[in-house]
Amino acid sequence: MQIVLNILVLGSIYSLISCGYVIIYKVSRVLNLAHGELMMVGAYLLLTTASAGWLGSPLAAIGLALVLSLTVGILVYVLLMRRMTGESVLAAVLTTIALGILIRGAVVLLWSAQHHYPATKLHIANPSIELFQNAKLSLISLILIGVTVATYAALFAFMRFGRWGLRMRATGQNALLAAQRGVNLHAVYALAWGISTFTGAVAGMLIALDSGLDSTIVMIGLKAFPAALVGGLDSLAGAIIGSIIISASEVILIQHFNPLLSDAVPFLILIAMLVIRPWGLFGTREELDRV
Amino acid sequence: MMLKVQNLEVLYQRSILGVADISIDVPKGHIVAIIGANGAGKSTTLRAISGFIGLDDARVSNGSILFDGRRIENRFPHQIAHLGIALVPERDKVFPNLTVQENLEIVASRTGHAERRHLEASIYDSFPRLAALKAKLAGLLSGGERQMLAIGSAIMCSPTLLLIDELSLGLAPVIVDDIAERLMRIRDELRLTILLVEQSTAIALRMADYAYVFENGRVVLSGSTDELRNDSSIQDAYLGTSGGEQRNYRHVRNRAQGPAK
Ligand SMILES: Nc1ncnc2c1ncn2[C@@H]1O[C@H](COP(=O)(O)OP(=O)(O)OP(=O)(O)O)[C@@H](O)[C@H]1O
Ligand SMILES: [Mg+2]
Repeated sequence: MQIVLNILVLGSIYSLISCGYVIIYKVSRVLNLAHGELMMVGAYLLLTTASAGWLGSPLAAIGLALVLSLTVGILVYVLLMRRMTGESVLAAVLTTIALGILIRGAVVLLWSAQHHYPATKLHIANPSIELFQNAKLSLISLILIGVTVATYAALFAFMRFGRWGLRMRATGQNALLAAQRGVNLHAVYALAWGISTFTGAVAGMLIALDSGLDSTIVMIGLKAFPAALVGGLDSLAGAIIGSIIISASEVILIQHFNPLLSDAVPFLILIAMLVIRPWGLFGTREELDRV
Repeated sequence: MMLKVQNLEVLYQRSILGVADISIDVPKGHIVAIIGANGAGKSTTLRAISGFIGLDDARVSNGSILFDGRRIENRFPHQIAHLGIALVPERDKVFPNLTVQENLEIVASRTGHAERRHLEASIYDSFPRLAALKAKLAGLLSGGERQMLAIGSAIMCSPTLLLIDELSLGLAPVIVDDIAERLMRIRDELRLTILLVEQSTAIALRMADYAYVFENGRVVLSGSTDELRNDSSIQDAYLGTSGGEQRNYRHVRNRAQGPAK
């Protein structure tokens, strides 16, 4: 039973992160390879607001960090990616790689490489909860699962019924036609970057609250990328399935084989997937040609 | 003059000439047609008016486009849409993975909620076929239905000037007549001005008041459609209505002056 819970928690973490890859890809065909780093920034922003005494309550600290993360995402688009809009996708992807490297360096400079515990700073307790016999979860892991479910429900509803969600889908299909129909592409892309960074930051914060924070958190963001790709980069539902597949293989192999494999497994699956079915389980086949 | 295009030159990829020197006038309330052979620059002209995005790798490199006295060349398409120009493109005219209703829904119109509802009602009134297909994915529509939806979503932008690239392309004559008739009705209702690109000279001459003939990115001839219809040398040389003989332009005068003011 414990193993199922572990898969569920890890799968939720990957799902919450990988939806960010999917949203930006779906809207602009750009692979945001700085997503892991932006997730890390979200976690460190929480560390900063947690250290700011004047905020009073933990909720205020989390709220402010969330708002800041959303702003960071929008700023990344406005200051950096906006120039790439409508240009070659490759240039944009290379830019995100450079951005990722830059963020890694900046994080160590600003917050040091040491291990931090934002939960202690915020006086948030994280008790173990026994859900079944011999199967325990930390409180924050449980919250993380709930937040993931809520996030996906909101995203599905937004993309299906929200006017701006529909505009995001339309822009992903045919940006020129969307623009000709009066849709401001910059607004759509900025929104996509905002939502993507926001959801990534939520994941980063919850991971940091659960198990502390140092710059290796970026590895989790990287491992969520195979999850998004296995599911199909333009499919939100695929991101969930991909995340479950990756987390299940990872947890099972750690348990029964060799813990050292954990970081390699997602990428082995990624390579296998690229060979067999590069557009992913739920992705659109033709979409891949455009990358 | 509602739309005034002067000496328009468009370059693709900084070097490929899309159109060389186009001047056209579209007076308010009129229907003006552009005809010409494949590659003459008809679509390029309409797309220059409605705006390019970076991905097109195209720009207006010379000349000007004036809409209601304002220069609009090289602006973003959404800005131009907000000024009141809407395009029915030649290809990729609907969002295939959205339903008919959603295709209308995503339009960022320049008008308020009430006007939107009113426009939507007009569209479904004029094209009852669309009303029956509201929940269907646009990718599954027939060519004719797709064209109706494309016209509908352009009208959803609440334009004063409607640009239509190839109304009749790939459609059966009965369907074209039907769509044209409904288009004329909605045009009267909303007092639209129309700039129409057509492969089919017969349709262009029937619908429009005035027409321009394009050849290799230039205007080689223009006149009221009555004039063009009755001028047999023009019929032979440009409009290809008298059979498959070789085209010979030398004996035709260039009368590219623009419609009566
Ligand atoms: N995206 C593009 N890149 C480069 N050249 C282009 C592009 N689009 C059009 N052209 C060129 O510009 C010229 C004008 O093309 P345009 O599509 O405007 O012609 P058209 O009159 O609409 O033809 P058709 O009747 O076939 O639709 C052609 O020589 C064409 O090859
Ligand atoms: Mg054309």
